[in-house]
Amino acid sequence: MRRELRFTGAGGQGVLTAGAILAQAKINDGGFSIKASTYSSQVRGGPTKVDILLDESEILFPYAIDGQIEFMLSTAQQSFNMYKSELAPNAIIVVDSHLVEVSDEDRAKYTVYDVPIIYTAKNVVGNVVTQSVVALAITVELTKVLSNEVVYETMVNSVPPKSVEVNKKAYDVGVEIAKKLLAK
Amino acid sequence: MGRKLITTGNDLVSMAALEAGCNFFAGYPITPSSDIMHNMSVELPKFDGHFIQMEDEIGSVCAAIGASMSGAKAMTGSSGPGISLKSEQIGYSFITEVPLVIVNVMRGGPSTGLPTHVSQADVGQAKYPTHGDYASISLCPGSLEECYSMTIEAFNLAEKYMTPVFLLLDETVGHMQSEVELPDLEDVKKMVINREVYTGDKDTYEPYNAPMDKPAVLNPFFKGYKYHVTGLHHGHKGFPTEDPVQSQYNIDRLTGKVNNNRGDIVKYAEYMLDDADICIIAYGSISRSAKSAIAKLREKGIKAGMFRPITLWPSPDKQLQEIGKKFKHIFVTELNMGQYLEEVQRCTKRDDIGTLHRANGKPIPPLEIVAKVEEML
Repeated sequence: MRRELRFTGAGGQGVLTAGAILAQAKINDGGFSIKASTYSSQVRGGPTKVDILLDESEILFPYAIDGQIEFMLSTAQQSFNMYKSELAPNAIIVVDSHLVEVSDEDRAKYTVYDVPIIYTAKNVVGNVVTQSVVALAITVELTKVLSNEVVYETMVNSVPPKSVEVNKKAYDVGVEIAKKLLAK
Repeated sequence: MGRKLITTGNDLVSMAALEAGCNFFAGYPITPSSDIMHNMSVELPKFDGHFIQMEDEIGSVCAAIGASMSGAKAMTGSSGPGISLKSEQIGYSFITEVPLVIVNVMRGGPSTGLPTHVSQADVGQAKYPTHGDYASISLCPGSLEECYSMTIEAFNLAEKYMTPVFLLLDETVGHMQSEVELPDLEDVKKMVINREVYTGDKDTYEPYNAPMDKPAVLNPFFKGYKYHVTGLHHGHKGFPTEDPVQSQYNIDRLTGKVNNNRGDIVKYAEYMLDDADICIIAYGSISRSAKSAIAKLREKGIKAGMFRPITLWPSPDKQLQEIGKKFKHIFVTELNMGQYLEEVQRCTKRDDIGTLHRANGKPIPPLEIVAKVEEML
């Protein structure tokens, strides 16, 4: 079954990297994936999104379909506002609680989790650049689109060798956060 | 064995160009084709090739033509506005019969239009990119695999028929990123065609004295084979002429070498047409939506299939004529306001063709095709 996830943020936050790892992990798992990134005149600092399409068979239409996106991660208010319109009813939304405010109307429509992602990367993991891996782990644990093992292994092989250890820690922290959210 | 990698359409074009033996690229950056130029700037020097960013689009096509005259396998890349700027020199490439591969990653137009959005609106331009009479060749990949294979093919056709060849990607195909399986490099090398070389007496060499339907045989410059090159009509040795018999022969040969070799040049794909009542005609990224729509239509008991021209020009005219006779319903969908529809109408002589056309920079999702096809039944 085709599954569609959307990562959004500000250019430079690592949104595209997290998406690329997830897409690669699906291929490593024997499936098919397409990464459809924002292609706009604004990238660095501007609103960025990447749609990750995952399927067991060949993906023909290489874009997310309006109303079928089951999950959205957002780490910037502007991109949250811009890109939420195509979500499925009852989609899961994870926002950075320090950076994105979600209206009561949206909270009624969607399952919204507020997580201080960037704060966690900086102060719990110890390196702000791990925010994309924290977010990736939260995504996988909440949606179960893939097993943590395959994504973890793909991540380890994708990040620069120097930052493997800190990213492993970031992944574990992300999984723990998601488990607590699900237990609530 | 094959080679598997995760990459984009634009990256595959540059990879295939290098593997086809491209050793010269001149360009000027323009969205959404710049990735190709960027890759060539990084990779060409590693293969003893040459890359140059020229002062503008006109300079870049001129540089590529010049390099090709010297025997290089040359390429230039751009998007709509850049192709418009190159158009005069593309005509020079046609009449002088200097091979060249021109990539156009299509974005919305006219003029600067929609720089970052998908379009198929340069299909008409690819047929007649410049003034005068000639027949052009345009290839339009619909998958990542074809971004690779059709780039190889574009170089082969350019060298074989001594003509500019367009490789038309749309922005979606150019930027689509997924896994692709490519043939092994040794197998690709066996497919590569290089231009014919004259080895006879230097004094009697007449590069443009070619039989009808055959290209000129232009030896690379600086090898001792003397001839003249001009954009004016020319005789067998390349010197200008206004002789009406010679001028007509030149045009007959320029158009004939393409149009009368359709059997060799034309490529197309058929999908689920055997039992179909409806033939959907689509190309490039829209053929992917169409394929997905066909699965959904068949779930509803509607027997649809697809004809996908890969060589847009020269068109698969015989196949389109057959489609006109064979199918109860024909449906054309493309990301422009009907540029290929006109060719389908010309070949099929049908006036009952269903259509879905769009030119707002947005792709056509499969369900919209399903709805439109159902509407026409």
